Amino acid sequence: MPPVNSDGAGPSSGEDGSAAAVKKRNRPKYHRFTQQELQACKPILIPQTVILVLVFVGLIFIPIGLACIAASNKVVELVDRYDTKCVPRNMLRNKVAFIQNSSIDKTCTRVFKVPKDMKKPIYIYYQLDKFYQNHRRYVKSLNDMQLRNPKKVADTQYCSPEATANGRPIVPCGLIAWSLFNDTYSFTRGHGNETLRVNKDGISWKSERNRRFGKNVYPKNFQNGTLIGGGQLNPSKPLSEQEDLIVWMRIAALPTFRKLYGRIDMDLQAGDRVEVTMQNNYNSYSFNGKKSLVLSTAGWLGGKNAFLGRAYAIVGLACFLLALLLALLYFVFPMREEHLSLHYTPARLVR
Amino acid sequence: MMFLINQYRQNGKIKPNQALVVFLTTICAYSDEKSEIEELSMVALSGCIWLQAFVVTLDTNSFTYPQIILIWGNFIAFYMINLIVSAVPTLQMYTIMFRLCSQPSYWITMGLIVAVGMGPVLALRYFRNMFRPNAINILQQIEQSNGHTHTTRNMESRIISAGSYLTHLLADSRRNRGATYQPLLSDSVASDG
Repeated sequence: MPPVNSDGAGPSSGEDGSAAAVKKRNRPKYHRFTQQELQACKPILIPQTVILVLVFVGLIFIPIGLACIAASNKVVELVDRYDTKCVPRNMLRNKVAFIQNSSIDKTCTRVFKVPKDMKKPIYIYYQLDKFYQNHRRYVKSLNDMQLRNPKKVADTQYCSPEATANGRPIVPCGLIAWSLFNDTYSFTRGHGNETLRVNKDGISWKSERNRRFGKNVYPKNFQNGTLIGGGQLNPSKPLSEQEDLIVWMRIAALPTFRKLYGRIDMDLQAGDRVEVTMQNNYNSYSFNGKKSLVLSTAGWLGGKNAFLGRAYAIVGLACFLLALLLALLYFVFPMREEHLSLHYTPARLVR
Repeated sequence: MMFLINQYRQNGKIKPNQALVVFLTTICAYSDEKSEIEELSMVALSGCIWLQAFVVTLDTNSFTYPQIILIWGNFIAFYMINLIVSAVPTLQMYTIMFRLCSQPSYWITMGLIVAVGMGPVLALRYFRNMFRPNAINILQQIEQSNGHTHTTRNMESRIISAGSYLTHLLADSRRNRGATYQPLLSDSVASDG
């Protein structure tokens, strides 16, 4: 049927037909996504929902908190700070001179009294305070290629000021390796009649022994400079087997840190007397740091960590209290129908 | 690490107090002093990712499947990418994520960060919606009420009045703003009136 307003039937009808055809071809395909007609969930906060959620969170958090607190309490941890006690009384005013004098015997004996049964494995840690391993220049002072690849021993880039000694490259180079911790500990039980063997196998990460430290890279020219920063290394063992070095070179995040020294694979009973003979070699006196020896068992949560358990219990309790508060508000001040209405002037409505 | 958290805060999704929650919870939870620097950084970053997902969820008023896919897909992609990066031997990140994910304390710390970071925000939002609602809150409640078939006659008349008022209010807003301004839910309100 021709349009009502058209003057000539033939030409106008033809044009309208082609225009209509063009329109239909350009029409976008219908889809619920493009037309914004997707099924939508529009939640709002109503008292019943919020109260239920809070009670639910409380019911979850309080048991977790109590479980964490119990796990933390089960861990037995013995800490002995020895940096001051292991200095002879006549040198207490000049500890740096004591530690730097190689002719003075550094042997020291400390005694632990075991308060509770400790199940194996018992982990031995050394703890340092005020040692900022996360200092940027310290962190950067190593060369990963040198640690891994025996052909790159001369690659001492980034390692200054411990890159070379006497004109030859240091392996392993850098401040981190140079400052290797070198106190040693041996343990006996009772009055010196039973030696507790310290197992030092596997104290580092397997990924580091396999990948980061080469099995054909040997220490060379290490601690041969004018300044001695820490422990010596066995030049006949490859770096991948120097587990003390590998543990030390894992950078600690905080200035107070513990690192694994070894494990005792025997149980200790309550009341046992453990005697520690240590070599107090490491100089923590120049920077007024502290040194401690830690014996600890481990639970499923790791070591002793009361923070998580307490925080969970407190949050769970707070959720319960908040739910109670909301319930009281809901019953004391119920939401009536008139609260949904708005107070407005008739003039505005008229306009 | 504070730089990292600050970067996330500047994206606008994590508030300063939430950044503080992430930092303090990470430090306290991992203060057993055996943590390496990469571990601590990754715990803090994970906390930011978790908080971001929940904050965006809370700010969303209407959920269709693209919203859900994008919010939690971002969350899942974070873990997938980090597990992939943790599998590259030459990086410092090598095996960090595998080791963290196998520790119960990591997941417990994440739950704590989310609860402490989101709890106050959620409570404040609820109290504001309940006792000092703005126009959007009222519109949402009206739309929810329209879905119920058992509305009383009194409620109906009040809703119609409120809808009529809001139509005028939004019309005024439309006049004051540019032509491109699209009033929220005005069609449904007009249809109610």
